[in-house]
Amino acid sequence: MKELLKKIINEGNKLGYVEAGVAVQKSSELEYENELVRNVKNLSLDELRIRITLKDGRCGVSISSPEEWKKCLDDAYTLAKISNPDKDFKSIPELKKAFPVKKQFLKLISSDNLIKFSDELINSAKKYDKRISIEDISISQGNSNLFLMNSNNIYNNEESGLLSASLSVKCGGTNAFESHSSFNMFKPREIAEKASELCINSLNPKKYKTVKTSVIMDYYAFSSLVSACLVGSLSGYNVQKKRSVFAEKMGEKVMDEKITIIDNGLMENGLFTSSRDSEGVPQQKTVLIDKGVIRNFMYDTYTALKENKESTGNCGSISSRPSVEETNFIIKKGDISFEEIVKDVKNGLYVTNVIGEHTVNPVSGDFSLPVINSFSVKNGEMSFPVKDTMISGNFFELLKNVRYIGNKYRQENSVVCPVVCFDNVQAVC
Amino acid sequence: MDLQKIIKKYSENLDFLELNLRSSRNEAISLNDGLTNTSSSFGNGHSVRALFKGAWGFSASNNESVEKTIMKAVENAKFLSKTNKFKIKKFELNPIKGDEKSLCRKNPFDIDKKEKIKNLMVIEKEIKKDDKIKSASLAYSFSNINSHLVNSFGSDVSFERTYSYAKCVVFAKQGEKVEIGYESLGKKQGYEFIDSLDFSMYQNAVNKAKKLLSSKPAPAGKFKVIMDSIMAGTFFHEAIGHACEADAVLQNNSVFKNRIGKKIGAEYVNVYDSPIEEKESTGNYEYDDEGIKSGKLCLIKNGVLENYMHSVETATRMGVEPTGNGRKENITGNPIPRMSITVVNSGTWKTDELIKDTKEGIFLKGCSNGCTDTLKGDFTFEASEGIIIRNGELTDETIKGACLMGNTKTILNEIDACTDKQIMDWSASRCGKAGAYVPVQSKCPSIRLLKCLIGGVQ
Repeated sequence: MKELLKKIINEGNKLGYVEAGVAVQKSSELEYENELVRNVKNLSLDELRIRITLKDGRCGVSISSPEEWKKCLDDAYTLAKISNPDKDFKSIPELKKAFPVKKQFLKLISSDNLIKFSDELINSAKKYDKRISIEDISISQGNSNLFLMNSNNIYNNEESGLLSASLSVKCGGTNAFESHSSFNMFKPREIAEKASELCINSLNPKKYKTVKTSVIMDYYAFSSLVSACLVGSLSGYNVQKKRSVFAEKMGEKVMDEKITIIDNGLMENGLFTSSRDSEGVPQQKTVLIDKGVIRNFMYDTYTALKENKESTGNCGSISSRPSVEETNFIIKKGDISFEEIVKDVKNGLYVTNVIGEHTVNPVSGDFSLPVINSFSVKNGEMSFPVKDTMISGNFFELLKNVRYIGNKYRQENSVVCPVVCFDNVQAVC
Repeated sequence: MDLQKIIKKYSENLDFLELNLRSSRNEAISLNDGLTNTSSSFGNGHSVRALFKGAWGFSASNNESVEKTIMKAVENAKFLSKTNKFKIKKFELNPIKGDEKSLCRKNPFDIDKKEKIKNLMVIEKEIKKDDKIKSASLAYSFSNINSHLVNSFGSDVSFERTYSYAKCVVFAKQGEKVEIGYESLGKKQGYEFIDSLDFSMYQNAVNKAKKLLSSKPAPAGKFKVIMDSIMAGTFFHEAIGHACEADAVLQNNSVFKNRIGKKIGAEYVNVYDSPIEEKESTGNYEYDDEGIKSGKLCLIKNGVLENYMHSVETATRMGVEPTGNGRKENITGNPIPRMSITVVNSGTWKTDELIKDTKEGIFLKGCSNGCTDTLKGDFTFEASEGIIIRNGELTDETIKGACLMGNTKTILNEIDACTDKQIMDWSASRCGKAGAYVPVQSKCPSIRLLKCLIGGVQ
């Protein structure tokens, strides 16, 4: 593949700056109907992406397969030629030394072993409680080999392998979901037991009330809101575009001082850990919010150079420009355990999950979301599961006043966060 | 490549073998505050599914030979057949021959790309005449899909579809406040669709964003609600449509299981899924992704549940004919029951009479997003704007962030009126399920709900 990329770069250098990436992907998956495997599936796909940028910033992207590289290069060039010049464009990234990363790499396991894995998942759920049945399972593994080269001598090749499992269980008209993705082999039992416990606890829900109350947000619920509006508001691109509530607020205190946020592209075994980002810039650790104060935003090369800064290694893709994306987006944990948080809540809601997080306003942070698998908390104890209840408010306002931050992490996609407790959240029923 | 010959060669001893060759071409041109983003993609690939002794195997690739992919799919099916408890009974399909031609009159890929950018620049200039609009993203996108499907029952179905889309996101700013206005339109047409557009879509986005600047947060609680036709389309899609998909029923994940022939809502509720409703709709198709000819399917007639939507597999297992709802996004997945164009019959109310009759309530317009849990029947979706109704009149009080929540089992009984006009929603909507996105649209009247939970912040 390196030879092919060299050819593309040599050919493309006559036209402008060239960046070319190839992804070679193999994956396999078991598809289920309830608890029975109904289909064994595998995919083998290649993709080539070429981005050409002319000196005056005109830019074009084309995507196809590696065999089509000549037409792909032509298309990218044609698109670049007709684009508008961009005075903010300075250069594509230069070669810089990357930091060492610690990341496991899982080799594709056989279909036999995948089935054994899923059997254990199912059996553990049913063993937890006889009333549990399986609503949905998905088990997949993917292996991708990524190559990247550009006109400025950057070359990178990284292979990664990920195993993902998710399980929905149901019981008496209620259900619960749990999932895990990892570069390591993991035990399915823990997922099964968590989902089953949550499902059983959610049985026989009762009406809550329309009231302002304390809300303990568990990992799924909190990370949903974080990715729906907080992540984007710390993107350098959105800030430059004034599409962020944090625009022009660098150095200001915008959140509770209990909150520190770090984008860490080098986090050990993080799902988005990599030595280089999509345009070949070394990934790094960037403190975005320090004790409630804005210290930095995330940048790719284009947005960084626009402000004469350096990229923070947050380029998400070379298929467009700019493209700022988070890596492992960490809300720093606190020092109080979940049990202690609950103990200290007199009246409130414990929200494990919400639905419809894509309805959150990504700029203003306004949200109103139905809660699922959630519980009334009374005098420091879980009281009863609730039904037909929504929580609403403005996420950025909530972040200004945080009561507790839990002492354990969990990663959901790119967001790494603890359990968090807020006061005065509107519950609607 | 003689696909029939290949199918014959490999289908011996198999219950079913299907091969789908696809090629696609896409182009996206966008303008973000004067900055262009241009991209194109093209490629081809194939997918194969095989049924052996009741077990499915699937394989897809864009870098292996068709024959190698077939062997892999067969190997997967044979592997599963050894341990499988889930077995599909042998089924028969009538061979179908068909060729669905593209409706495109003006090939969007032949149009000078410069002209597209120039168009967008003119629109951007016009939008930014409004001093509250600080930022705008405009985009055209085009896609062309060619598919050739053959199976071991002798079906041989091809289609070519061209889609064109226009999208617009504007950001209005006043003091600290930033609000978004989003509009999109899409048709199964060529560049003639772009030619037909006037400024109204863009003006709507601008108006929406500006209106939101002065809108109050939605109130929280239970209200009498009128939904406009666009929101009603999403409502029927989310609240009713997903629970009528036969795979959800077979997985015991639908509240409509064992409810065929039963009354599930008020008698003037008539709901259809119709891929043939409007030939230029992005939800329109002549053949589904299993080569089954499509038609108008009645889901709910006079409040009674009539049919589920089926793929070949779900129809076989439930002993009915396939309904032509087997759809997939691309080569990476199997066709499963999906919606196309959700159609709801109109009623007799004039909109202004309905508002007058409502007295106190909320008029909700447009819809950004929604989702459903088919097992419990819980759904939620958000109106893009809302207007308070007081004393039987629309006031000038607008609200934002009105999120509606309900349950499929009970909500249909809350519908007590439909207006007399069906309106086609041409928004560029896509429905996501099991990781695959397919274009869907709707054609509905406005409806009234007697009682509905709205999650607001006031």
